[in-house]
Amino acid sequence: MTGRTLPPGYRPDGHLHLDDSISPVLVTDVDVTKYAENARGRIAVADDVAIDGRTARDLAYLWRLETAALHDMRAMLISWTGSEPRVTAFLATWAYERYWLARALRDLLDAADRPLQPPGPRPLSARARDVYLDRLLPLTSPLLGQLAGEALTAGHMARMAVLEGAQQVALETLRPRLAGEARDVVDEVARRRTDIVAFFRAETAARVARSTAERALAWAYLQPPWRPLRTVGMRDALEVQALGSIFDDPASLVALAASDTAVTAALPGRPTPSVTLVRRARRRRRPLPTRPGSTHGV
Amino acid sequence: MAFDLDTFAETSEAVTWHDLDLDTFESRPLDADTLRTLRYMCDVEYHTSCFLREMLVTPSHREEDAAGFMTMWNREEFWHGEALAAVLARHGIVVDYDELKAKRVKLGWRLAIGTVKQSALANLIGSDFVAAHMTWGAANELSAVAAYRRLADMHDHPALSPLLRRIAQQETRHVAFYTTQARERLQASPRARGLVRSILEKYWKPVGSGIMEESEVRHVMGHLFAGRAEELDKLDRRLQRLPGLEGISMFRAAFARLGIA
Repeated sequence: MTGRTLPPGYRPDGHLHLDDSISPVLVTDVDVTKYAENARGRIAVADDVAIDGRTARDLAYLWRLETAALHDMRAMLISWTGSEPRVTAFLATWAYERYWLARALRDLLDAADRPLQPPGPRPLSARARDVYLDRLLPLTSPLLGQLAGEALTAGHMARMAVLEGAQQVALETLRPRLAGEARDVVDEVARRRTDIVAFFRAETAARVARSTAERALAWAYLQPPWRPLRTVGMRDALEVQALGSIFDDPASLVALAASDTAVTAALPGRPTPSVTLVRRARRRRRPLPTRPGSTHGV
Repeated sequence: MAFDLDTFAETSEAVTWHDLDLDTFESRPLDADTLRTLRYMCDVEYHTSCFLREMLVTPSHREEDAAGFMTMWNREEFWHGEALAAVLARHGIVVDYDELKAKRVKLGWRLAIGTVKQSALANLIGSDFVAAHMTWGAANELSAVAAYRRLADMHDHPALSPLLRRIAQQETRHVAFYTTQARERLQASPRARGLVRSILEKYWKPVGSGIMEESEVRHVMGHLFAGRAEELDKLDRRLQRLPGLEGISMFRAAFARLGIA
């Protein structure tokens, strides 16, 4: 490279913008370049699939969670996290993979002749939160992000780690209720999610270990009104039914607790927001009526 | 022809360059002006996430086709950045995570306020604002295609030219999405037609203007398009096909404001 004429402004080390005022990008053991290079696309689903009504409703709920990736990314990009290039590099592939995970669940339900239907109107609290997320958050989050700075990303990473971990547990919990092609597809969705969970957990762990501010923000971001296992933290009309059904086995709550504390072990009080939400759903869940022809959102 | 999200998503892929011999930059290195232009393009591609966030604060993020497209587009543009960074690295120019962070952090309040402005406008104007975004996106992608092809033609380089043409080819798919969306929305709303024309004529600037210094925009656009008014006219003719934009000469006017062509 000696003797090369670079455009104006470059330093001898080849950088144009980087100087001592910029803190180094946080790097964990997760290889983001390798993840991006090996991005996984469409999951093939065979035509002949059998899924019972209850499991189909539960999968429909998980499908709705899968489709929320762009909303989750929006919340991160409009704040400080959008300035973290290693995170945005990961998110570019993550959103692509999440698109295909959602598509796989939809294709599975289509193949089982369980077409998706809208879940019904959201509760008033969810509609109010929707207005906040849609109209107000983009006005406030960029500015608050600039004020809070890099520490804010710890909050985003903690949220995503809890959320992705809980969705992983949900898939693994449903698995024994499936057979054949349905089980294979859900297995693949769960398998692909492993890398995603690993990234967000590693980011969270590294950031909360770094400073009190990051630990505090990670804790704060896991508090109500935000809840995992919801689309962008908003309640779905069928949430109580779905979560009560998916996590009806006590072992699943143990798995969910382990997933949450894998993220929150270093945080004050070791919160378990997924467990809190699911326990509430289980207490409130009523058995579905047995009217013939009722599809309950599927 | 309507935009087919399924086909677009299934055929979306990262641009490849590993079959190109980047060692040829040792014997045929690029000149400083070309490197400056490539660096500009690289920065613009890597900062797609910043453009994406402005799209996401409009109502379009709730639409299935737009959401699916944005997901694929964001990833494809990231890989354009990676490809161009690989070329720059061969010339001793480092565009790594730390460098990108430095750029974004130094943009700081400018990016934040830009997002707030977009959101406020979207709230005030409503769904017609999406027509403006889509038409703006069409203009940006059209000019990106022209820029990549122009730079490829300026150099008959065995590694650079095919790479730039591959990137341009992917950008043409983005043009298809934006123009389809723009056409549908402009056709449906007289208010959108008036609004979009006014916004484009008054405010459109070459892609990258939001994140680069004006001196850099002027230098790069001059490098590519000085004395090439016919290229700008071609771009204007593409836009003129959209409802409400008959006779528009947005590209010529925007470049003239920069003192180019």
